[in-house]
Amino acid sequence: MSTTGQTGEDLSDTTLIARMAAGDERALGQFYDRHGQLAYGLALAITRREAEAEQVVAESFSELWRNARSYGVSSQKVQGGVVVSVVRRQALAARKKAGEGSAKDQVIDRRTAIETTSGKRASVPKSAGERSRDIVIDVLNGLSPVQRTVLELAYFSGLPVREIALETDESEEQVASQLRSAMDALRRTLSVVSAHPNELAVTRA
Amino acid sequence: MTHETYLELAAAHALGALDAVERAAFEAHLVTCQECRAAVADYSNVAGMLALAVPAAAPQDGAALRSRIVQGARAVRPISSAGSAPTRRSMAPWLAAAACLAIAVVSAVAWKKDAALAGRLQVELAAAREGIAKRDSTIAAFFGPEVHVVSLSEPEQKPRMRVYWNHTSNLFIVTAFNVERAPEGKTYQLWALVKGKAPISMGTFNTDATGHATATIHVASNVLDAGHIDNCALTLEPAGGSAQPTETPRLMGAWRHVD
Repeated sequence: MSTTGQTGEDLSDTTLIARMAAGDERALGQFYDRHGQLAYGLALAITRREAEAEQVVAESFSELWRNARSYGVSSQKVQGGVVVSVVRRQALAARKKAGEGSAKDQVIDRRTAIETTSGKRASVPKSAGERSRDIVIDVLNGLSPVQRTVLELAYFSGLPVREIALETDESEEQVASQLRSAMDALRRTLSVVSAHPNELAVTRA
Repeated sequence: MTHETYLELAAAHALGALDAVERAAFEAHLVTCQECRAAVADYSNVAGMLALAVPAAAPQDGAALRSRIVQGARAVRPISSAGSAPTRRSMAPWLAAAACLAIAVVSAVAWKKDAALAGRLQVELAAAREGIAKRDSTIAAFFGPEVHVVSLSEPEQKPRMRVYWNHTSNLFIVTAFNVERAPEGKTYQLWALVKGKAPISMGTFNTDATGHATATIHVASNVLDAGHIDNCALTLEPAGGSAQPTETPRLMGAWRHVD
């Protein structure tokens, strides 16, 4: 869904954040329209509960609204990374507070959701956001099973190296090394994608 | 730990997968290692892309959630632009009573037509009011619609100082309560740490013989323009400060919003 200003041009995330910092609630609504589905999907993937995911999204956008000025011109190449960073932190905190069960079981559930959804989109023309998503999934599928599990436990379950080592029966050094090699694989493949701002946006109508 | 060992941890750090002690040691290393800072910045960008792996989804009642978010924003103002007056808190009762007493004394003396004493008391009253206004302004800087705070400590230890950042008045308020007085010819310097960038000086200050300090530092434009600032570090530098830290940080902490 495009976000149009008075001139009909799409407003960049930088512009929306600047307007939010100035107290423009309409800009907050537009920012939510652009990143809300990404935020909710990520929150749901981490918390595994719809009500909690909604709460996480509400609190995340409240935080983004309060702190808009501190984001300014982000050093991150992709502005949507600010949303992802805040939502992930809030979702992991909510998950920890709720006392979630086995992280490794949830890796399996989450992976099924990822692979099922990617398969459905094969026959329709894809947006930039969908192509980015396919690239990320392809890279994840190309990782070794251990690398992928370690990466998902760190990112989606928020486990520290020490706990990932316990879950996977690996040493902490091996876990740190696996994380580095997995992230290096992603970094190599995504270097072109991450150079283009706003490709992290959700599918636009 | 060697530099290679730290570099091996950069990906884990970007994912938030280091425990408190490891994170403190790693972030202390980051202050003086440009290669590791660049690695963390790269990995942080990559980590953000992992969110794309899961399907975007809409909540059951998306319109209601959107409305809740926008309505909620009306109750909480964002960081306002420069020029907005900071929220001022009313004077504590004892301050008001002290001012009233001083005014009453001046009135009584004037009634007794002792012009010289009245004049002297008026000067003292003006000085007291100025001091009260200054304290009131400092107190106000702790509060307001947008204040962040960082508690600085050694790893796993209690904080030894705090820095408040009032975004409305563009002030750092430094409160140290257990920081040994700097040796002669030295000064303490605070640094804003941004992923992928060299440390940015926030300013310098010194503590007294009891290890205490209260100071206000204007937030410089290069700090404001730095983007999202994650952490804060304290080092001991030559008098006048340094362009970049010359030692591993003595104290560190992460910025958080004061709710």
